[in-house]
Amino acid sequence: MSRTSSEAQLIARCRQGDVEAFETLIAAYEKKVLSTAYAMLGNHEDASDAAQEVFLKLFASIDKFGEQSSFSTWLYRVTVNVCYDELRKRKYRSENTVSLTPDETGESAQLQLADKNAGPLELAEQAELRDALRRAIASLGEQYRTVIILREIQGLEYQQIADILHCSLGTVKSRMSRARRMLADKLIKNKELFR
Amino acid sequence: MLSCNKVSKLLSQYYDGQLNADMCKQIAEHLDWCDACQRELEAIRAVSEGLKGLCEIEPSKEFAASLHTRLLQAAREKRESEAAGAALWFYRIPAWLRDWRVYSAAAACLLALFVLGNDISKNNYSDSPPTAPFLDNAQNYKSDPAQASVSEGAGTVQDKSGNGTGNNAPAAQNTDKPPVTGGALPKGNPNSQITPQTQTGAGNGGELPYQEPDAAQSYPTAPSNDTGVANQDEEDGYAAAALPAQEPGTQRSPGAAQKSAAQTAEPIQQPETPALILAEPSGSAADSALAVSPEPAGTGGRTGASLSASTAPVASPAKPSLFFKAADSAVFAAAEALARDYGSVSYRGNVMIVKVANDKFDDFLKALGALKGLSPEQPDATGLPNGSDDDGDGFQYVEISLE
Repeated sequence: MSRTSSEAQLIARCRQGDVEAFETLIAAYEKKVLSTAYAMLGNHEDASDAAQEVFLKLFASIDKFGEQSSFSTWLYRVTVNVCYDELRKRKYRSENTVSLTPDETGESAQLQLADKNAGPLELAEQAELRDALRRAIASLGEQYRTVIILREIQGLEYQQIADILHCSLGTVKSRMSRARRMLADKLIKNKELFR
Repeated sequence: MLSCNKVSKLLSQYYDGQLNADMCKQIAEHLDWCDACQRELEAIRAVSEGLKGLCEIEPSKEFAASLHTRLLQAAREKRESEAAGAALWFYRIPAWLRDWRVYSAAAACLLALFVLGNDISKNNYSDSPPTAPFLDNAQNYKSDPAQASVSEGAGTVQDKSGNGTGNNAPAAQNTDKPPVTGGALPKGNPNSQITPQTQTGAGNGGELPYQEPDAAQSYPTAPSNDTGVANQDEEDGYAAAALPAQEPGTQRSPGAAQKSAAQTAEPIQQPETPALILAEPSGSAADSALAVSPEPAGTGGRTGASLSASTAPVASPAKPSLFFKAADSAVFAAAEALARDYGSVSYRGNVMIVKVANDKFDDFLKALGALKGLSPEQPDATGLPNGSDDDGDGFQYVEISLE
């Protein structure tokens, strides 16, 4: 992935310890890191802590950032690794994810605000679907959860996902196929969601 | 027609547009009639649509403020640690290593070693194991050992210029025992060893193992062989040549001898008895490796035909052999000097073969025994009988190799 000249300049300034340059650099990625961490860890607080840890790690090792990959690939790679560490540290269990209980101050309210034209029933259905999806994602293994989040939530290309996860393109495709089938199987059980 | 199992596995990639046009067409045709796969595709689509925008979170102000504070602190700590690390790194070095004079002295020592090493290497002989101290390139060989030139590149017996280029002396073959082990000399390689007496400046057809920088100082002069005949052997019509490769146990057949690359082909006359096949003196004295006189007819088949090293195997009865191992090159050189005093010397590879007349053999052995650093050895594994067999030709043989 090519790096824009402005991004390259910001990275160069970051290497000199310029905090302002770093904050400018990560401004476009804050939401992405937060949402990825939220999808991986299942709650707001953990996601916020993980996101700050990601940015601090990036700042601390910005001078070691090479030209082999794009900044976003590196950023996502660090994000996934921080989330993996957090999951292992807290022995996170899918059946006990906080995401089972939707964060009412977060996403649900945002959905309601985003889709003003939707009726209450539609909003409820959407909320129910998203809850079901979050539960389903949380129930996936780390490998399948990661590819689903990076592909479906972050919209990354297969090759970039392969670069982030240090695996082959075929592995990404295989995991995607498997993850979608598992999610679909879980959702099909809730037949009312697929009318 | 694709099966449902195949289509099911490809639906995810089909949905993401990761398949080629042909495969997409086949899957589309399958979906036209397969409701189950169609439902599965719809489930994939629902999941994908449902996940879009899922878990989107706007960073709060508290998040940004906290991150900013932590980044400033991290930047400050990074600067301090870098400064401290640099200082610490330097002061962790022992004081004496921080002294510039240490490095100056080290540099001076290295320079001296380099100069010394260069100087030594220039005076080094070839890397091949030393054989005869004064063995010289055949082309440079002089009748007077003192005239023997020392040239670099005098290689091993295995002459690099196996084609005989530059080594235009005919290969002489010793048809007497001991036979030469296979591979001692490359085919076509003329005899790589000449006795100092085989002077005439003839080349021996092969590079010599090494050369004495000052032949006059190290090598015994040829015993009254100023006629160009190297030694007693030559007077007898023998050439102290390195023995050609031969099959073990086979009778040396001069007829099977091949011409050296340096010589024109000429059939070798079959000796009636094992005998040295003499190298035919070439037209140029400087060319001939072995200045030997042609063998008169009937004297056992000694001919003046030239042979390559890989000719005429000679069978010898298997008897206890006399092998010696020199501890170092100095001992080896001393042994060679002794050998030349008592007989003639040739080489098979890096092994010195000494041919001594019977009446001098006991004295020779005593002299060898007095040489420190020379120890008896087991025969080599070539299977060819070598050593001090006395086959009635009036000579015995000893092999000396370098440790």
